[in-house]
Amino acid sequence: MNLDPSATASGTTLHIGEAGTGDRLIARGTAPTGMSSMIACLLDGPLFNSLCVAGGAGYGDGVVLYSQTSFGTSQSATSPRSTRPRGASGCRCNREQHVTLTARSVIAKGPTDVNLSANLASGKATLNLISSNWTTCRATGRAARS
Amino acid sequence: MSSNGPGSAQLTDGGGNRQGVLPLFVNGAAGDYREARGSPTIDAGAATTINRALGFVLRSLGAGPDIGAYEYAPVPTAVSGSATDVSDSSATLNGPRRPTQRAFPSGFEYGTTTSYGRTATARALERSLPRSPELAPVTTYHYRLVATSPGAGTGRGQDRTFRTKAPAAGAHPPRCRPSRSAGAGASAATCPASAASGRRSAHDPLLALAGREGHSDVQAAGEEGPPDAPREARNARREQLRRGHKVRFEGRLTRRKKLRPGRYVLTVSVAGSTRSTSAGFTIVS
Repeated sequence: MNLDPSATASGTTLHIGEAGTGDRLIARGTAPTGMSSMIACLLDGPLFNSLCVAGGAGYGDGVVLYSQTSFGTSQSATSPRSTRPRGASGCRCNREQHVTLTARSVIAKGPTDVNLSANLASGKATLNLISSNWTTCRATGRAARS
Repeated sequence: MSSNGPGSAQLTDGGGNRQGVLPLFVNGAAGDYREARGSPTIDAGAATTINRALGFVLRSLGAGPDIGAYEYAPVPTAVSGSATDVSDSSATLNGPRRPTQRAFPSGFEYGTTTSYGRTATARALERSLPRSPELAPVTTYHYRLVATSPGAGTGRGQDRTFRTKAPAAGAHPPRCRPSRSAGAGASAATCPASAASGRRSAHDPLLALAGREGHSDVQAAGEEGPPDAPREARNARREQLRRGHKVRFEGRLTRRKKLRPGRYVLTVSVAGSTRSTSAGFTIVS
């Protein structure tokens, strides 16, 4: 399945719900201006064998885990990408509660390939990378690496 | 790694990672993120129970699954299969009877020499092709399977041949070779003999010409014989028709209105019968 909406300003192209599973999907999102923000795929459930690309002149994320509740999910063999200089990460794990993303066999590519942030003091964002490929990583929070 | 936010952000290394090496893609600038030959992500992924990558390519085509959504497929091994259902104008070309995981048949090249020159396409992993159209009778054709892996290259199978059959006796499609002077498309176009006679019997075989110009009736001459042939001979032919014998017609269209370039279908039917046969022809100029 190839998801490429014609209306591309701000928002999410694909949202994998908690009860859902994504497999062999292509999701593209374009943030056309510097103020716009686009997420190609928002995860609340697992995603497999998929390509998620965010582009445009604005902010874009390939794959994001962003949950208001404590949550964990995984992506396997995916290629999240953010292609624009102003774009955000190819793979972002972001938020307030305890969220955990296990990324297995993932190629993460963007201005910042991997981006972690925990916005609240009580929050903890964890990204577990296994057999994956990335170069740059940025963490916002009391970061640690083990 | 920075640490300036209020919460805790933690990256854990689960092992087997390829950090700091750049993957190679077929054409990343154009949005084609399939792996290209030599990418460090090839065979470097974690084991998975899902056996299909994006594009429905099998996982683990090499030493192991790849990192990323796609699976790199090396240059496929193409094996030309046999040609079956060979007739005077068509044939079915087959790929390998048992396609391997590495084979991605994308089509056949065929022609009357080993230069081929014509292609017939097929979907990936399809074992055989539809019947190749517009082959000449009693002609030897060369063919070979062509299999392409987008990230690696193209493999070509060995040259094989088949020979089309001769047309079955009495079962010719109507031969119509409209020249620039030939034409139809008016309300009626007749073959010379019938035109000469200026009459058309309900028992006469009819040629129906359907095409871009609409629909026209064409009387046929041919082996039935011209209207001025001996009555006994014509009656004998008509009797054959009634008994279902195959009769060969060779009609010719006379010019009434110039046919425009395009594809036409000529259908021969017998009055009072549901039988018919068709053949296509093209007016080039």
